[in-house]
Amino acid sequence: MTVVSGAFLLFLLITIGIYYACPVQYRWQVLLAASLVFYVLAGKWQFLPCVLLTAFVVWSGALRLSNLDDELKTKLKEPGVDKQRKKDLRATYKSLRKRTLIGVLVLCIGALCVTKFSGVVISALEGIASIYSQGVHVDPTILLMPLGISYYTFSTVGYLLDVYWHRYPCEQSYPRFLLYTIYFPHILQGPISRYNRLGASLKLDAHFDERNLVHGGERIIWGFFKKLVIADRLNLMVTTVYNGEPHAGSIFLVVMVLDALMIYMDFSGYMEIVCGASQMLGVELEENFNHPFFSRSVAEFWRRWHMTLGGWFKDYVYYPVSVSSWMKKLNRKNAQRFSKRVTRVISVAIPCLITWMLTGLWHGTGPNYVCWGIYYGVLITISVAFQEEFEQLDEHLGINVESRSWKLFQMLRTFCIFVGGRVLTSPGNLANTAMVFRNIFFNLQPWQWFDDSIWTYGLTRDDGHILFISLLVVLVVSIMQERMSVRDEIDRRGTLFKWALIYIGIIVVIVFGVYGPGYDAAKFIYMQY
Amino acid sequence: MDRIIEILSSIKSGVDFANEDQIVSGGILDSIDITELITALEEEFDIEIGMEYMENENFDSVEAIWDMVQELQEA
Repeated sequence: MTVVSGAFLLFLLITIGIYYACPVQYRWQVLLAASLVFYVLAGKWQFLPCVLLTAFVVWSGALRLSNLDDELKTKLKEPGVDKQRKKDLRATYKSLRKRTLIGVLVLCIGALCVTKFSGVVISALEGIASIYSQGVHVDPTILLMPLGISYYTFSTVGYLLDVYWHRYPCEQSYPRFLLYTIYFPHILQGPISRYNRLGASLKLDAHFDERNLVHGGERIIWGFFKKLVIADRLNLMVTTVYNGEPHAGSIFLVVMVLDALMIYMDFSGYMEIVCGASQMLGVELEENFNHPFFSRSVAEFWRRWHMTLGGWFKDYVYYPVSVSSWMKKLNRKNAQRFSKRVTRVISVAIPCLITWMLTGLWHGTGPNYVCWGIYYGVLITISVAFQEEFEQLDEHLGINVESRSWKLFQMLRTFCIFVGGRVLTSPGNLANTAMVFRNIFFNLQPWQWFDDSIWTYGLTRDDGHILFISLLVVLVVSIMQERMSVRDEIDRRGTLFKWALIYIGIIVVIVFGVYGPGYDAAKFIYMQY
Repeated sequence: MDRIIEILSSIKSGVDFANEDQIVSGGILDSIDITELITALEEEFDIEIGMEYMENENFDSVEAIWDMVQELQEA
């Protein structure tokens, strides 16, 4: 079962019915049962023990950290404990806490690495065996890749680190913690929720609110529109062209842009559906997108695209590296050796590159994802290192940085940089990426933009018209959302207007959604991570 | 507190930090600015800012930063 299916809508309706029919104090248990059922229906039942075990290991690890804190406090208060003894106790418990943390991290991150890298390791072993003429083939189906492992591992590890850093108290109840881990709207593709937000929201007694039901439903229809009408239509051309075969450079250029739009519509469409579903249950999920294509710089883009993943890497990788004792030591040494400017650049570059390399590896294990990480790490480091020069250049050229045309140029520039990053990974591997660029530079054939060739790559002229109008609708709605709450505005226009829009939305999705042969709604791009 | 305002202004000029209460959550300082701020605060006040203090509310206003610095100096 995927979230873009009638089965999911039926599952959601049944869950909502039971959820609100139950007394308030039992509703979280309904959500837990529904989430367990959803996880089994969405994948294989064999995946379930992996999630249950991860949740248990993290929950018990956090509980142990909390118990160690309590033990220390009790021992410090015991009579006759002198200053030296207090110091020793603190050191002992600090070490015990650290060992507990590392143990749990090794188990959880280790399980994630095994599932992510086992395919690469097996391919390498098969390659080595073939050199010695030993035909070894490992059936890839033996590899267990639990659905959503990247997402639930990050959510739970974030919780463990927060407890370790005393940001909030640990959860005492395992079923409650399991609900946070496996809550069905966020388990497969995120958002990577923080325990202090989602956990708290799940603990609130959700009372029936018609507004939540209607607004949630509106978001679901909007998500279906983005996914089925736009993303899956764009997917027809993108998969036709990115098939490893050479095409005219002009076609590759079009597909590079369409691919960038497709992944946005695909992923943000998914988020609209799950956030809407969660809102119908009275539980607020964190937002993952804030109109990223309106960003004026790469750094801003990554604060508006997949926000919960960016936030996770910022809080649990970038900051810990930046403020680590070894980084501070290095900065002090560099300050003695180099100028203030060089020291600053190094202090930014190292955490940036580490963070982006890991972000790349989170998305995929091939060399193309490593290049993708380096690409963004270097770009962001350059933007920080040469910020003064860029500002001076703007001044020297007499550019009004607050003018509309300059802002638009910056948005287009950021979009092009994003397209450049996508082309490192979307064609499948670096050889295909090189082939794309070879054709762009040496086999452009620009006339294919003007004759009918473009309509021979999976899309018809009618598809083109539907895409143009649909993307225009998304653009107008996005501009409106930047200035106001569109849903409140719809409410203000009256019941008739609101329901007319809802019915139009449903009809548009049914009529213009892509359901043709070869269509597979299960393939959300971000689910593979 | 004046010294904190000076440090903040040296990281990002043209902001009225004294009257700002969303320095981080409002996006005035980004993650790179924050690490610079931490280094400057640690040097200026001879403190060590651990990960447990790395939360928006500790950096959102000059008063919040000052409270955090005092707490760390007393620890």
